[in-house]
Amino acid sequence: MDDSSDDATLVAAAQGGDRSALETLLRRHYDRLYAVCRRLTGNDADGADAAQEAMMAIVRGLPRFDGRSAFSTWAYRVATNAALDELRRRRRRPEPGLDDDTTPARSGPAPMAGPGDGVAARLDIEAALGAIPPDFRAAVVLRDLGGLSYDEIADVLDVPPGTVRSRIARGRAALAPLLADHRNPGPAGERPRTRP
Amino acid sequence: MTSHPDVEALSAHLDGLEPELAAHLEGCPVCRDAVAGLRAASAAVGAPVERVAPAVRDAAIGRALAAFGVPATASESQRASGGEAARPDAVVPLEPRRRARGRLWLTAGSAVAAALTLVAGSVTLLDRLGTEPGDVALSRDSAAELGAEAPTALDAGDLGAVAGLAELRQRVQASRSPARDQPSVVSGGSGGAGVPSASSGANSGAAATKEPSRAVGGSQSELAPPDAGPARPSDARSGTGPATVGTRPCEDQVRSTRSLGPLVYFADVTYQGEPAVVLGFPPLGAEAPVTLVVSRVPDCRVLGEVAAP
Repeated sequence: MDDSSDDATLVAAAQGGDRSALETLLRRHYDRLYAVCRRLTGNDADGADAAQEAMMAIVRGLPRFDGRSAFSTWAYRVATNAALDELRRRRRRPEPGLDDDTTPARSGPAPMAGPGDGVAARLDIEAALGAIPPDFRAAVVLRDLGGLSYDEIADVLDVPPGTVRSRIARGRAALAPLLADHRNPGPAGERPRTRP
Repeated sequence: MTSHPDVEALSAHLDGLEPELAAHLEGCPVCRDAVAGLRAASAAVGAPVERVAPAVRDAAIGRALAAFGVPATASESQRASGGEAARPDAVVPLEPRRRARGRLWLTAGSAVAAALTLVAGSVTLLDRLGTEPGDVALSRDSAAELGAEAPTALDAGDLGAVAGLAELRQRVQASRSPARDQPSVVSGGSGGAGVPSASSGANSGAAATKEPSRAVGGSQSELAPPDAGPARPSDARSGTGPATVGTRPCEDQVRSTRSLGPLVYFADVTYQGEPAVVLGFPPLGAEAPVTLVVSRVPDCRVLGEVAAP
């Protein structure tokens, strides 16, 4: 068993007790799963926690993984659920300065994003993502960051593909003006319409 | 009146679906603008996420493997991280944790019995924590599992300024070594859901340690001597405000969000410039490492969580 083995082979070996195969699987997918968790939760610490939970859930659940979907899709589902759980826990914690889900998750003044300003751009997208409902956020992140197809996202989120299409569209449409506000703080009414 | 496709169709077009919309977009600036906005949002979400440090990734994977009886090896962790030196605490082996059973927790059946046993128990604990710094993990065994009435928490004092969770784990590890000021062993903290709470009498007795306890809140406050050392961030919370409700600062607030076992570790810390406390809990009913929760004082906002080293 080596690092070039495909996921299905590694899964079968891991289910048979091959620790090396299991570790290879986790290492292969950790960065992608962390990225999704990071985007969904909006900060490094919660993202790392969610990714940690996802790793544990994968190890715990692998014996029951039946292979009907790809391992990567299943792993995305586990990670997405872990991140959404983390968000739910966070909502129950006292967070001074945050009103509700519609408030961008940023403390302090809005950064002015200039060309090449990666930090400000990151804050922009995190703040904007924090302002849209988690269901929309998950669909958009899985599509645009994870690169999953609509059908795969439907599998991950356990909703019909039509719902995925709607959530992605509504999520993007909600994000567009939020991001445009930061980058083009011009007069109102000059933004592109998102519902022509 | 011009008929425009709806936003779902335009969004799907971005993803390669609805190819027939291309002709409409060619002649419709309104829809082109809308698609441009959707595309910008899609690109922003899809921007690369900064990867975590290899050591953090290794630790996460190592903990996941160890938590379910699949210990990883340090050499493999180092190899997989491209040769970067893996921290000694990147992997938590399961067996040493199991060996720790029955030794980490001091029992207190009654105030008198606890007072008599605590000195010997503290020596055992400190000795063990000090001699196996890289080989032990905070045990998740609750006092209830061992038949004790009162769980015992390790009060590690003030960990100082910490920049992030990885450094916090290192400080926690260091706080359990003999080179540092000897930590106090104090009982207290409320049990998790389903875990019997210790009586105040048992707590009082068990708190009579050979080293002054820097206890905060609850029954410990009356046992701490006046010269218990310099002020810690959580000291300011003792006895006042929501952070101290008969337990350690912020313990109740953290418990309100999840099911946790008895408090097993407590320390003050300045986390990313903010006064905070570190609370260590084993997850209730789960075979998993102790979770360290960093909670800011006085508002108890959780600043971060990480598995204990």
